[in-house]
Amino acid sequence: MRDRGLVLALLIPGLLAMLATFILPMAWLLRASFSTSTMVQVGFTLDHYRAALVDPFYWKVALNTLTLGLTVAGVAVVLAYPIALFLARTTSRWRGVLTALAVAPLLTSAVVRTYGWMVILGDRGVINGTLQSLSIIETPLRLSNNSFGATVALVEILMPYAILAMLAGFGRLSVQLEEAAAMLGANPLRVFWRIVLPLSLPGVLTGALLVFVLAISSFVTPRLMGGGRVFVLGTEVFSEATVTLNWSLAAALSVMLLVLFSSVIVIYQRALRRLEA
Amino acid sequence: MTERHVSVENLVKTYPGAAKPSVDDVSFSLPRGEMLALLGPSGCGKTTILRMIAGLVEPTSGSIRLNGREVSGIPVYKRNMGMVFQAYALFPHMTVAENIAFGLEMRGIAKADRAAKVARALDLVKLSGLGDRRITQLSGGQQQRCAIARSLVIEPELLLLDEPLSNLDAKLRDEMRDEIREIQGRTGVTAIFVTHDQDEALSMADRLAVMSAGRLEQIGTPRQIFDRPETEFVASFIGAGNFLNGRVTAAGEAAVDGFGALRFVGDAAVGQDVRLMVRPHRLVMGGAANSFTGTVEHIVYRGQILTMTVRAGETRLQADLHTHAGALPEKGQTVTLGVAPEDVTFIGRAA
Amino acid sequence: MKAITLTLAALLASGGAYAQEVNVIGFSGVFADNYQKFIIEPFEAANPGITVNYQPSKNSAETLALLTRQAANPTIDVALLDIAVAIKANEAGLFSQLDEAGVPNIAQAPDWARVDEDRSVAFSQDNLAILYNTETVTEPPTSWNDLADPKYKGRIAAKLGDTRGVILIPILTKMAGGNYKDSIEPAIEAMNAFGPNVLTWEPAPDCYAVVQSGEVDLSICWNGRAQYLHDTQGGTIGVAAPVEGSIGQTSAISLVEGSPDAEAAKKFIDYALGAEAQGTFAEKSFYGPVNTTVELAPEVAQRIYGGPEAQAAQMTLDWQWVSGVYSQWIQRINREVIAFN
Repeated sequence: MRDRGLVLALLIPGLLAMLATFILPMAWLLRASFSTSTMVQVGFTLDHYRAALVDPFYWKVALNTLTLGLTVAGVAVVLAYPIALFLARTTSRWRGVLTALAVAPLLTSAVVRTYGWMVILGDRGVINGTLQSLSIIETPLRLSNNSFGATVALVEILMPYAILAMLAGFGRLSVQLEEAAAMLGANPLRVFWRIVLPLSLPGVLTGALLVFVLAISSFVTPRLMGGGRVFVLGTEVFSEATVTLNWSLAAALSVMLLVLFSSVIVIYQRALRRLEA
Repeated sequence: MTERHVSVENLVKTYPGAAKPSVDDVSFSLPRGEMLALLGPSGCGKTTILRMIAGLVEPTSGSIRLNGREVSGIPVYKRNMGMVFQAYALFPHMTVAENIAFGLEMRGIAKADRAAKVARALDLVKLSGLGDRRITQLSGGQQQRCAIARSLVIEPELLLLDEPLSNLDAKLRDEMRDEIREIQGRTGVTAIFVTHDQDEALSMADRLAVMSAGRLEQIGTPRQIFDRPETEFVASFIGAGNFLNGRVTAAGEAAVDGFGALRFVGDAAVGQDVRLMVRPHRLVMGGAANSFTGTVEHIVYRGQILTMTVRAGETRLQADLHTHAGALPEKGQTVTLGVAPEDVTFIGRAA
Repeated sequence: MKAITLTLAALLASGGAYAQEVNVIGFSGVFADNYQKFIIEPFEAANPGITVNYQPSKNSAETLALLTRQAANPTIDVALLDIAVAIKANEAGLFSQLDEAGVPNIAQAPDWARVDEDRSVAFSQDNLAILYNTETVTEPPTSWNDLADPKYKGRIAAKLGDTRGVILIPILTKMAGGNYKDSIEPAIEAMNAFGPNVLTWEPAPDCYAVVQSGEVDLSICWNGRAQYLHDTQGGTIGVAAPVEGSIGQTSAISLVEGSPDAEAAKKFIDYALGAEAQGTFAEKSFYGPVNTTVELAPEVAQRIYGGPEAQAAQMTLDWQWVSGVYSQWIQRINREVIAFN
């Protein structure tokens, strides 16, 4: 009995922090989404939800968001997988340093790295500058200020998360299992296909989910790298909240985004658990 | 001479950056159907030898032959050897049957044949009916059996076992020891296993190869290794021993301080300084061919055995005597102990 | 005891009246510096009993959020807001009505500047202008139509998904001979005409820096800050005031409902709306004055509104009306212009 009391007491600071930073704002958001005023919370109406749901533009934006999320998650996972696999398997004494290097980009803010990508991919950026000085192209290639730029920057910005999630999810992978498979006659390709891939799949899927969630909720990078042309739910919520000051619509859009993607996460994790069983 | 199924010649492995080789010029061979134990303390190179034979580690130099054919250069997955890993290395995402079938699948064996072979293998290791279990649902002993079945079902040229019993509790270990020996005997597969446990090696292997610091100290049958150790390391690593210095006075006879003349078995020239070894439990009360008198300095009663330290002259010996209900020696008492000449082993020239 | 004596002495020194405090929230950056120097400091000098604290806010939306949060118990007395946001705030009843008795200078404001029955009064207009890079553009643009010149393909930054777009619509509509209250179709068409030239609709970090850095040749931006950057950043940024005239981003001053010190606040608002304050502010920061009695020197007028032709074509907006279509216009710009270019 006393132990339970102690556990509760220890939980209180965390719960209070959760209440203040997560539950209360969430409640506020929910309340605002039903408000009859665009700014203050009065009355009750479903108009904002109706407005968002009947507007084909928002459906298109939702589809854009989904496409961006899936593309970024797919590419980030494909690029991060070999790195994570190498880091998980290497016995080099530099392993710690290499792992730190792989996730070091997290030490810089996403905004700073977005600016970095603008410098690299811009019309007068490093890539176009090099190609032009080598006379390979005449007019600059459009590498940023579109969804390509947004995708590239998001992939790079979110890759460290993918690597971390994968490393955490590679627990069942072991060199000994690969050796056992080889002893049983599996060539390196089959070892990868039958042993490494299935055992690393939970890590890969966790990484993909994490990147997907971060990508669909991003708005700074799509806005800056997209040149305003990339319309995703994050940028729409931002613009409704800060430009047109329609806070209730912004809240309704946020709530829908939240409901939609948290159900995706729940379904996904259930599937993941089955895979790991 | 029997057929050499597996032979290892002048095998050397030096890891990059290491000052000394991990395996230093080791040679031995096995006839078909033999079970060899590689025995030694940790770090002696025994596992490295096993892994070189398997193809998991590249030798620095030397040769490994299977049926007279050099295997260096043949990749692991083409060597057709079975290996039982210390932690079993069963595939956690497959069932027991899938684990066992894996090697057959890699060999392109038809599904129906595979099922039949898997069933036989499960039967061999007494896991019939557990084929659909997941690996995590098996006990330690069952996992061990599954690992053995998986490596035997492919009908390997050679079975390699890396500390196969070290992950089991004591009771299960005794049981599996007999079982592995039995399965090996039944299948007739040539096997090499690595262990640091002398009991395991003595009781399971046809022959033992004792290793120390990368070098092969001695290879022989359990009796040869135990009764006729050729080096002091072998003598002391396997069982306990009293080591005595003496000078050969006649053929098979040496003068040892405290003993007078001690008769031994071994080839040593008259006048040579020799090192002799007597196992504590081979000493008996009362006179024998070799006998000496000394004082009991220390005594421990351990139920079945009475361990005492006896001093004769400047020599101290440990004697392990079987106890009985009658009178036993006591501390300070003068006792006469004897040992048969064949139990006095000539180890080599004294340093 | 000593502290109390000191405080009493200070009170007595300030003419026997108690010390008054006015808390003002408004725009940040150069605006804040200039406002402090050319409006607050002269006011404080003339009113020794009143202290004015200026609190810069990132943007009008954040100011509005703060005011909304404090509605029941405000600590702010005076708010400077983008006029469209001020009208939003009035919908929520955040500001109190001013009158000519308390704030005589509102009489000098034109009708369009007195919004929501004098709850918010416009005090400055920052014109929308075309910025150009003086190193890459040898022939400065003179017309809004120059934005559609093919030589600027991929060389324009145009952040139009906010007040900039909302101001450009009436300008472009008028150029096509229309009236923004009837239809903005011509403006959407005109935007689509220069749309293909636009490199970015979301210049980062802002619409000025991309011209300074040479990332683009032209950018649609506010005049006041551009003039300041022209003077301070080596003249790389040039400002073109199109001959067809422009409209200013209008800032309004309002008294917060429930202001802790309304009397002092009204005094300050009156000063800020006066000809002296507006004249100085216009001269120093190139924000057009609203007070009708202000006379600008020709060279100052030139830098605020452009040449005589542009000055004559300067427009004002019915902000009250525009506020009703504000978000709809932005939506149309987003969906019918930006999404296609």
